[in-house]
Amino acid sequence: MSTREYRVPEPGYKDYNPPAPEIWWTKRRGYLLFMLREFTAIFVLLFTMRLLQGVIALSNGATAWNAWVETASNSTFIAIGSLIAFFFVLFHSITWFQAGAVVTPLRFGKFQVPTSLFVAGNMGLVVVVALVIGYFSIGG
Amino acid sequence: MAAQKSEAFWWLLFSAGGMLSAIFLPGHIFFQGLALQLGWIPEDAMSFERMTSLLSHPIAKLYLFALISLSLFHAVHRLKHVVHDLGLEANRLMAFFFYSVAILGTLLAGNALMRIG
Repeated sequence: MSTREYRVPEPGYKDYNPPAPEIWWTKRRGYLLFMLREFTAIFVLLFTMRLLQGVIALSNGATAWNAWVETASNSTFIAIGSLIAFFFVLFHSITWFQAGAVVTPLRFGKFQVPTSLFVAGNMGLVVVVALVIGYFSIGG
Repeated sequence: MAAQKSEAFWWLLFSAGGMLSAIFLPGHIFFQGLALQLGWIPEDAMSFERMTSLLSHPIAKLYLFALISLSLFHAVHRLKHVVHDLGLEANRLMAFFFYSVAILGTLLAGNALMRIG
């Protein structure tokens, strides 16, 4: 049975969806954390677009590239944006691995790696990857 | 929001992008965002010549293409659902708009990367 069929109400059955207020997600801590997790996409989108802008600038020659670097180095807007984006993207990483620990659990025989350890291990990977990115960024 | 048959396809891109962005984006935001602002990156490391030679390598091109494209698909898919969660109807037009952003970004990234080096 497809999801589409499932959502079709039985004949004669009134499908009633009481409207929820737009700020329903501020009512409970769990809802708020869920929504903050979903909002990480805004920062993933914005920072990825900024990276894309850099790649396009590089393909357009030295003048365009230097202008991109200048903004990336000296714009207060980019500085504050990067700081906020950094925390949101870290939150994305943590919540992504939390979900991963449930969806794709890691098992050794009868032992299943607990969520906390799964998240910690993957965040360790994020740090190692960041060091590699740093190596190439600084001049490896 | 009626579930589309294509949902599985978009979800796959969302999932792949979620994984790549979770692993690789923090490092990029730290170095290409924060560290650059704080003056921790030597100027010649960001020179046009060095960056061009770095991004001339096919693996670097492939990496950036996958990271940019899939992160965009991840973000727009999630934002499509955010719009729905905030009480707006996530209809086909809305879905078209969001995925178009990711498709356009993918084309721009592919085009730019091919022209480097």
